[in-house]
Amino acid sequence: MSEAAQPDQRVRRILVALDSSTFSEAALALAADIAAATTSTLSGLFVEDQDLLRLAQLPFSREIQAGFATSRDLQPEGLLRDLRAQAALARSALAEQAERRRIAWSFQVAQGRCEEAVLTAALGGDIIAVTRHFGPFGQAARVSERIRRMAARAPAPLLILNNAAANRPGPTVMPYDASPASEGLFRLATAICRARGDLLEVLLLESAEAAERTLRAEFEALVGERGSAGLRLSSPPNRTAALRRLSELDRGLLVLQADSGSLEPAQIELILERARVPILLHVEGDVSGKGS
Amino acid sequence: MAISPLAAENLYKACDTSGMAFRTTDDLDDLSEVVGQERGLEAIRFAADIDQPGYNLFVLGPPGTGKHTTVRQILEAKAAQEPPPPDWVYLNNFETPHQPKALCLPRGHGRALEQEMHGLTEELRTAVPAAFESEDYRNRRQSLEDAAREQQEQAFRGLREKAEAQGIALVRTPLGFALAPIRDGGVIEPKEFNQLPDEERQRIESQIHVLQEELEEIVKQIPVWAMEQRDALRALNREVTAQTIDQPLDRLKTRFADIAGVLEHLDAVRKDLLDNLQVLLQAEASTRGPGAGPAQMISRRPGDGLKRYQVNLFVSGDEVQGAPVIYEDNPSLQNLIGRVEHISEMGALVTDFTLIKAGALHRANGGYLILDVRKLLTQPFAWDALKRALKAGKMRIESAGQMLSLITTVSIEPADIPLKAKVVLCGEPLLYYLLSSHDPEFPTLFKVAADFDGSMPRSNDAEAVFARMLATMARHEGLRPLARSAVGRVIERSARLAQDAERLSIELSAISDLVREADFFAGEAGDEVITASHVQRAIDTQVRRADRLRDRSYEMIERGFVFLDTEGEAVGQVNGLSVLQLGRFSFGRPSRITARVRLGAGKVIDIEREVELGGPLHSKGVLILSSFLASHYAIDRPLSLSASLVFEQSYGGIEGDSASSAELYALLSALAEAPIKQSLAVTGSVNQNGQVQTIGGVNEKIEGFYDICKRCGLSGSQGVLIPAANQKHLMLRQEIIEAVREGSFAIYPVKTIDEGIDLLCGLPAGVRDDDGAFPEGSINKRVEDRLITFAEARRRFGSPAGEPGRDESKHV
Repeated sequence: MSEAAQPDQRVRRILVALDSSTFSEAALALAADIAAATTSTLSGLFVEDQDLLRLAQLPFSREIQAGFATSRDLQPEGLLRDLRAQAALARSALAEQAERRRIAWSFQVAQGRCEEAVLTAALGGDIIAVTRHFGPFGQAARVSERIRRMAARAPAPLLILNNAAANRPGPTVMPYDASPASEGLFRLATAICRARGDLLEVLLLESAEAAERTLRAEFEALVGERGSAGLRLSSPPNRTAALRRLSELDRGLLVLQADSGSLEPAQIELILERARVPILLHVEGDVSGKGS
Repeated sequence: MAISPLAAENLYKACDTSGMAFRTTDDLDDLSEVVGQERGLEAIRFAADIDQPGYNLFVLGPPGTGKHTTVRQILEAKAAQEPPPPDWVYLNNFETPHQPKALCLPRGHGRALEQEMHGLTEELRTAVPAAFESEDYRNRRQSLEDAAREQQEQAFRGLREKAEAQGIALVRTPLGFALAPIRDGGVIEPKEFNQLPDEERQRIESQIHVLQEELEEIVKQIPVWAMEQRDALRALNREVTAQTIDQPLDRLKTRFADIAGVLEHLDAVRKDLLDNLQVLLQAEASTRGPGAGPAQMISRRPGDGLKRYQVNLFVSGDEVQGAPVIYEDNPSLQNLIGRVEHISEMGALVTDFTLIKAGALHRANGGYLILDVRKLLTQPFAWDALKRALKAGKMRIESAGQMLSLITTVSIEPADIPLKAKVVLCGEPLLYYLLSSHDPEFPTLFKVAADFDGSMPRSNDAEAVFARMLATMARHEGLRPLARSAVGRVIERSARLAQDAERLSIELSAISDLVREADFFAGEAGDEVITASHVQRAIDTQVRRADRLRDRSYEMIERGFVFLDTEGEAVGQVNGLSVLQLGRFSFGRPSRITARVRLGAGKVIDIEREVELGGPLHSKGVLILSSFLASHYAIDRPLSLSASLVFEQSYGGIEGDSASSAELYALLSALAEAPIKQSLAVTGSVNQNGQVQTIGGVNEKIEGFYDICKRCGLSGSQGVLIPAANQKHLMLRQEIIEAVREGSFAIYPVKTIDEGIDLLCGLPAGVRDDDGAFPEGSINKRVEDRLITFAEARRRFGSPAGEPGRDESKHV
């Protein structure tokens, strides 16, 4: 395992991207949990989306309210008021989660396009937490496509949060193919599990079965004797079984390489679409380069 | 006609133990039957046997006659031959939870059902979550969710694609959705839009308008789809739950197939489980979790969770053999008719069907309930509740707060339970008579009275039975056996307690106390057998412990603080005798009674009555003696005296007519101006014919005057006049018998006032001769002459010039 390929295990900040879509307490709680586990800062970034503000200035713009199926004219002042109210709520929720865990937190409001604003604010050493339908066009395209696109541009791993569903406790799961990128990801996942006291379940893909002993040794070295985290290595009979296991996850946390050599892009997208767990999505580039 | 004093032999009826064929009570067999209560026993057996409404039993008798013990023994013996009662359970009423259902089950089935339902809930706690965790369920649920999501996404996708084809994007807004024209991957700038040609703008607006309508339709469908998804999920949950619960429920149905009500309840349980089980389990899981906060605490209330399927085994018949015989020592309302307990949850008092607790009536249902009537009547609402239950034939659990509408706490109304129990009240006769006369429902609800006597006739056979009773008592209580002499002494003491030489007291508590104390003294002396001396010592110490006030009272007389002469003579002054009752101890107390006479309107003033210290019976006695005077002397003239009678130095109330003869003697002495011997004391009531009648406490009265005379010095002339009819009541102390035998004290049985006045004044009373005149010098002659003198004087005052007479009348 080369030094260059090792990810930076030290997470400095969890950057939680917030926008006009309803934010989830459960998603915030998970981000705060990881921040507490990695002793990093919890930072909220609320984006007043430029496209929304433009929409409100159009003469025919109307908003169909989801809760009541009624429509109303969309006015710039009204929209801004709504956004700021949401920002205040988001700030309050973030503060509460951080204070409950006694971690440092910050909150800022930015204007621009959602993705751009977040990517601009993100730094190496961050974990960028976004909801699946982040941004005004969150409904527009396939979630997996948008996420992968964003991940490819992000300087740090993405933590993909579910919008509303409660997070169910469970193991941290990751596929492992013995590539330098997955080795780095293993370290990051181990660090999270060590901090949270979780079980790390590693699915050894075909080419990685020989790495079992090495992984155990490395895990023990990273966790130490006192750690309560555990390691479970399993070898799915074939790629299909591994894919099924990953896409049917409904509890815990999934750590995934966005551009893994072992899983095809379509398979990655399938996992992103189907898995009902938060996903920590990593792109090789930021593991070896920006994250170090 | 001088009356002879009674011989010493007539003052005490000793027990002749020579005819008793045993050395100690160890030689005697146990006595199984109750002594001397044949009438009461018949009544108890009758009430126990008769199976008709209202034939409940009231056992009345003096305290200590063994009412409770006797009735309990009889009922327990009878109940042992009767079938045990069924079980009663309270079950949750799923339709109206505040009205729990009561269900009667054959004996033993209540506990079985309780255990089975407990087992069922425990089984469901693991089986149901397992079913909901199964891959099959998860797949089906996922499929439902995917289908619902797909349905929604498909609608949005269709709209989105249609919009995108026209260069329009579906945009998420703070509160919903909007549609916007797109340029370069973003919403078109307003400035750019305004620069578009009018036709283009109108076209875009028109397209967006159409799309908005479609979007509105889709958004309207979202709640409908959500509801459909919930329904589908609920149906799935019911199906999975049914698969899990049906087998154990069917097992229960098979086991309790023959018992009415159980199957209906199990069907209700199934229905409720299908609707709520998964939610209840989740609620239980959340309350058990470490992060359970106040919101979750709410679901810890009883009735939530699987507790609603429990069985409250209210009354279990398998705890008794035969029919139950229950004695409730504290018959409060709640202890009698049961109660609904509450527990505090988040500051509020809450309850449910599992907190219904049985009362004594429930436990005695199908058997017998014994209550002490005094305790019952002193408990608020308990008597009314008992009557209501007996009258209605069913038991309703209501708190006093509910009855008075004082409590607004959330409570429940348990279903009534039919009552079929025989209620037995034990108490004093006074309470029975008061209830009979003041409570109209009482005679209809307690139709049988078992009247326990306080004493029984004394005969050789009765003494033999009494001896066996003592033997039984000693054995059962682990006391030393009683020697024959001790038995005799106890029997004699029993006669004294009965205040009758020819009867024996069967107030067993006093007898057993005496035997216990005699046993103590036998033990103290290191004797193996209780002898007469131990019994006597027990009697003496009982008296000694209680006689402080008697001592003080006699000391006051001896020291001259209370005037009472035991020697000499005085006109209009006699020694009367009264009895003071202090708890279980009573003693005689001599009092000076004085009478004063003068011309008047024919009234005898009872000073005690005037100052309201005399009771009605005492006043009656005084009126009777007034009548005696009026009818015996100078009957052809108006009674023209004014007399006053008083108990000297008496500062407490006086009741009873036992001093009326003494008062009459004092009055006759005052009228005749004949002195009365102060060495004699008098007791006895008098009737209008001058006959001296029986009184109570004769032994204590004689002993009281003897004690005073002894303190002041026995002269040989001292004695007591008692009604002749009281001779049979005499059971005096040995010391007095000896004094009588030696001639230093005398007891005179007096039948008439004439006999008494003869003794007291040492002059003949005098009998009217054929001419209707009393002999000269006789007491009666002197009395009549005095009355005639008064009458004449009054007549003179009654003349026109006789105004003073009217004044006199007014004065009286």
